[in-house]
Amino acid sequence: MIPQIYELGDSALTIEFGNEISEELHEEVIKRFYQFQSEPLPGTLDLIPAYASLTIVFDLGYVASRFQGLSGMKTLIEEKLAQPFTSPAMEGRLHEIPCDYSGPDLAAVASACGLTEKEVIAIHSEKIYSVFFLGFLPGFAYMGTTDERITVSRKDNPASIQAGDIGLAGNQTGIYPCASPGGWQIIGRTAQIPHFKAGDRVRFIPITA
Amino acid sequence: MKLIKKGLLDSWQSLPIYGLQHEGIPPGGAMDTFSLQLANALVGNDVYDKALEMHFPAGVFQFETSTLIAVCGADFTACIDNVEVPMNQPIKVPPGAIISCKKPVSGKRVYIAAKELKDEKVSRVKIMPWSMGPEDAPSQDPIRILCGREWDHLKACSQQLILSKDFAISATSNRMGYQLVQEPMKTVSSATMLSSAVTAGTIQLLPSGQLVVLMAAHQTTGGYPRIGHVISADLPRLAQMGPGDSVRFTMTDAMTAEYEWILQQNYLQQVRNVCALKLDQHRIDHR
Repeated sequence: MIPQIYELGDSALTIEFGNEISEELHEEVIKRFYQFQSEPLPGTLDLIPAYASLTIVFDLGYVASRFQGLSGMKTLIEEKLAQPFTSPAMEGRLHEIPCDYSGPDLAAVASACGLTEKEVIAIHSEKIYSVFFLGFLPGFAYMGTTDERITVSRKDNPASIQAGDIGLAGNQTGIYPCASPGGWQIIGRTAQIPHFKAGDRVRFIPITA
Repeated sequence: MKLIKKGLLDSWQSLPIYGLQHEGIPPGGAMDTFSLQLANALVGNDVYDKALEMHFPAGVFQFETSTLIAVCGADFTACIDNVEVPMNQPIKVPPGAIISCKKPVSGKRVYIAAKELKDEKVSRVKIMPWSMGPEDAPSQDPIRILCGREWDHLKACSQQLILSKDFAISATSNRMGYQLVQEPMKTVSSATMLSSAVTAGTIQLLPSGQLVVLMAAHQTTGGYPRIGHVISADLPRLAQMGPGDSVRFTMTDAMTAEYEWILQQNYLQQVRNVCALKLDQHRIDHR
């Protein structure tokens, strides 16, 4: 599949490799992240990997005055994507995270999925998840993929969430590293938030508080 | 500077700091980067120096040494020792002087840049005889936006609504984002999207149909549809709005966004050059 490049406002370009959460796309994103990190394009301020995309934030004044702005950078990105690049081998750590499944949205998730609360807990804690990338908040690790039986949509309006809250959204799961407004369905909480890196693996161990 | 009385959300802010977004650490920085840079330029500070960002009611501070200051951004009737001082103009203040803000007149965030005068002992408040920065009242023109990746998720009637109606900025708005109040947007499809990067100025569509504009303290990624982006050059103007204000949007293009940004950056560079010259000249004259 040919990656699509689109503008994210006036100062950033997003390279979209696909539209789903998969290990394969994730590997491509991380590989390209390393490529643009080791050979940065001129004017690069930030690289933001996500599930299936990599965003490059540029210094707008710099690229506008020297490289015909974002359209010029688009050409440079296309050239770089055409070059072969082999990233260094990734070795993820396995984190085992104790989880007290008594989140405020557990009952709502269970009823939305047609399951009992116990079943939701069993399904969520049986799988080993991949850390796809960090984002949204400092240290927030996007993990997946969750079993399709516990796929839930985000809340209509972001609610106030505490540090250590474990949430579900779509086929993603994650731990809020700090208090924040958030739209994920909170099913549990933990007192242990490790320093994640993209490529790590995670298992939730049910505990009772 | 010594804090005498805490205000609502007083903080030292600089330009955004990039390079850590892959760790989930957002660039942050001042809401109104234009006023921040103007204030720093007026006192001869470095571009990346911090200035005090305050909301109303603002904090009260006492200067411990002879200091050159400048007040930019929102007009909160800044006073030194209870005497009103002009905005956008360098002011020398003596040790012991107290700065406070009496009454909000316009804007939502004031910026105070300060530079210690190490080789000069100031004995009374002295307003430098030059002023820099915008002379006209802030523009009331609509805030200019670019199409977002998911703009086409909106039905034509909602796209039209965004470009024609006033949006009230909700009371729950903060430095992370402004929640906008209007009739709910209608979408063509309800396809959910994968979380990916967002930037300051990204306009997201919440599942409730309401819009939120991400501001300086925004997160690095998000999973709500990105229907548009406020152009960088108009973010400072939006940052001076807040709860109680309403905002109107107009569509522009990437070329205009670039051009307006360069214009703004060139203007600030010019102000920095002129201020540096004037401050040098002043030092020579008063030696």
